[in-house]
Amino acid sequence: MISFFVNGKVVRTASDPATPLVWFIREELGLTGTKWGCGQGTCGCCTVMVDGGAERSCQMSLQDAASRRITTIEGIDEAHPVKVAWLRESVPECGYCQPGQIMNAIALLSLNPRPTEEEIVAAMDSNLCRCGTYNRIKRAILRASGKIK
Amino acid sequence: MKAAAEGRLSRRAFLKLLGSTGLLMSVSMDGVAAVFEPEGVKDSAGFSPNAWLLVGRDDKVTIYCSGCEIGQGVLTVLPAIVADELDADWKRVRVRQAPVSSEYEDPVWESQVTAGSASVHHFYMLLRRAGAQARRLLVLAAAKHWKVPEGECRTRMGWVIHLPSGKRMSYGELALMAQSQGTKGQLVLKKEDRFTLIGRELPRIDAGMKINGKARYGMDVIVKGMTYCVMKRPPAFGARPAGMDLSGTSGILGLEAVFRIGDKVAVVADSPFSALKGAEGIKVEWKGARDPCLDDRKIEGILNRALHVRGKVHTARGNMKEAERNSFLIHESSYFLPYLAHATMEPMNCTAFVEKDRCRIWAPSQNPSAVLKAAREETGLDPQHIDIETTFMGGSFGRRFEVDFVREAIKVSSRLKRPVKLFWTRSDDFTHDYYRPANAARIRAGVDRHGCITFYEHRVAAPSVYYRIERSLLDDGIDPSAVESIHNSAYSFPALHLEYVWLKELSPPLGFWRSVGNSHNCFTIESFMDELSYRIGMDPLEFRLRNLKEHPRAARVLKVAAEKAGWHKGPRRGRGMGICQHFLVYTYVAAVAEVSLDADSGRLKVHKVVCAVDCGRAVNPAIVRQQIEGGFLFGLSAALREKVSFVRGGAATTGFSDYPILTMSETPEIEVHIVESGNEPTGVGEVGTAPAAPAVANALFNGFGIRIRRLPMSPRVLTGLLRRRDI
Repeated sequence: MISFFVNGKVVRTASDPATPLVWFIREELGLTGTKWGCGQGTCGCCTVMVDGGAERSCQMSLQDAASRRITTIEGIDEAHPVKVAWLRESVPECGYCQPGQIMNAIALLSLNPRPTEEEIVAAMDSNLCRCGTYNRIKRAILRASGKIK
Repeated sequence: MKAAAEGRLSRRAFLKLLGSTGLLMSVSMDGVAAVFEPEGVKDSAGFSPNAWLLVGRDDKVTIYCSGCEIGQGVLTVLPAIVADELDADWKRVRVRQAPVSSEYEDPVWESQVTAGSASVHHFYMLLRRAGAQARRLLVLAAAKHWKVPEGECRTRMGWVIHLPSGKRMSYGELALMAQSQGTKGQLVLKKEDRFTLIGRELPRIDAGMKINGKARYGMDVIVKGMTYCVMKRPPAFGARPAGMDLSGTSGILGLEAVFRIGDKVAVVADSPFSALKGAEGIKVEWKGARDPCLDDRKIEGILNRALHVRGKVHTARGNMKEAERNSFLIHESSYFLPYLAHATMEPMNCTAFVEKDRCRIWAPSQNPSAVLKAAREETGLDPQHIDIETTFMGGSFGRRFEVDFVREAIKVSSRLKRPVKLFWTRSDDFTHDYYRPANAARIRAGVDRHGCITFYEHRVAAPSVYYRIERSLLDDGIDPSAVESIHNSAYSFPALHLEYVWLKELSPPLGFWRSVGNSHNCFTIESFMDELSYRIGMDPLEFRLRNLKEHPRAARVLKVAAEKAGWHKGPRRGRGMGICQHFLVYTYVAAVAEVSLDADSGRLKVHKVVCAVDCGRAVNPAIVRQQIEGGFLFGLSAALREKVSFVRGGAATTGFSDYPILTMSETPEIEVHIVESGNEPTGVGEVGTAPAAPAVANALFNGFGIRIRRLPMSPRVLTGLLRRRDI
């Protein structure tokens, strides 16, 4: 039995400990806001926060998640400044990568509340978006950090 | 009901937040609240004069959206057209995805399909009439009830108002009376200056759901009792399984079934992880590749040779011989473009549950009519026993026009008699795409002393996209997409010769890829126009304007893009500036790009892009800009880095690590200017994609003297060109 926290609640599972976290979150817990995009750790759609840091949940097994605190897009309040900034900048097109982008942005801002544009690009560069919303993502992060209003 | 409640909650939260942070002043609050209602919500009782809307007795207006939401904002834009003519209160509008039904077919294509940048263009008048019809009936019902002349009544935000008396009744109150009201007289549409929603930057109704992880994509469908399926797919096109070794799957918990299905092997398990492990563990022996020798070298050889072959003549007009004689200068160039993949962020998938007398499908598809057709063919059931839910989609770009993944899910569920979620791996997605075809072009043209084009000759060599998709559209062996936007280019060609060489020997499967033939023809034409302008010593903008005399709208977007980009001031030191224009999906677009290039590394940086677009009336200018911006980056990604590789008869490209797409660090600043022309609205979804490659290629020539004739413009290609330039 492996246990950990998801969005503040204790979760216990007897599933195969090698199961990637992304599948457990999505298919077992039904928290489908975390997306599966490549299973190769190359796109960032499945990004969640683990103990406050951004992690790709397709590259983390249940075993690795044991006793840790996982936060998914559903665990972020709708009034969170990053989500509000995303809405204000009208970021999403297809929207599939956005939960991963948002989780990565929140992790960045928790470490570095007022990042420069260069720091934003460095932190976000490996989260892919095929619709081309990158400039809006950048502006949303600047907005959430209070740098633009 | 659940989603409606959530919609209200999030709106409250949003208002509260805006209030508390003092942003209220800058955001117009009306128009924020139309919400999306997913399947399963019961219709309220009310008045429904046509398939597009229902006015509830509770004053809520439900509008059905025939378009599939693939990121382009169709769920916001199409319903706003209906709501405007209806004079509905946008805050009380509920948007629902239309079911698959002939009533919702595209009036031009006579099929329910979202493609070709056509949604607003094709549905604009039809949806206006639908809204206007309902409004008229509500007014007639009110006038009858009050016993007053119809002409004394007006509508506003969901109310009918009797002007002389000031009496008013809400649409909800009138719903039952309107239902029994007969029509008479002519339908009158609003004057454009009376629009309340069309032309406004209404926020997208899907934004909040997507930001909160609540939008349900195909991958997110969970059905009770569902099982998971991954397919083991042939490594070479056309190969089929000849033998299987399952010894590698022993000990995989939850593995339920492995069976051959056509040219694939289905692996079924109780979890996605077990299905993936099963597919990995199975060894399949494959036989019968269509072209075992297919690889990058073979493709390159075929493309190189193709331009020396005469093709089928699509257009031959004017006197070429005479035009040649009258030319002051004749120039010729050849261009080569690779196969491209769609690489949607959400891999292909579909959930199906086929029972004896019923079939349910949850399909992330931009082609609901084709989903229905596939379901009928695969199950033999009548349409009334087939339920299809079109889900949200993690990108499409033409890939989800195909229904191969839908057929797979139906087949597997039919066999298992259980609900099945079938999904593709990222590798499946790259190796079994329907690719944008590789192609080559040779262009030869002349100009007179004044820089006017005298003749234009264009040969396109490419395999045919339409041969598989719609053979009847092959016009005497000419693929219409391969030559599109050449014969109807905005340039004036006194003599034009257009040929198509059909490369039948290239076997990779082909499909529509955002902007289709424009994705290569805009690059080749606009690179060539740039070459011509430099050869004759004219400014590339002036040269184009001189040859666009018959198309003032094309000239205008060019001028706007040039002016906004500071074309006449030229690029900053150490940079190059390139310009181009194109006409596609009935829309005019121009782009200016400013780039720099590091000579040692070949690292290209696109600093800034300015686009100008004339798409007629912009129904939602914010969404138009978003589409042009995203479309351009899609084209830029392809221009800079994308190319599918092949080996031993199949695709060698298997993931984002060998098919790198554009990232944030490579994204230029993009400005989009909408040039209003008062025309009816036309396409935008594909418009930004086509000009990306030529704008950047032309900027490279302007700044660094290297001419790009082969895509993608990878650092290796660029350093090679720089070295040759130095000699």
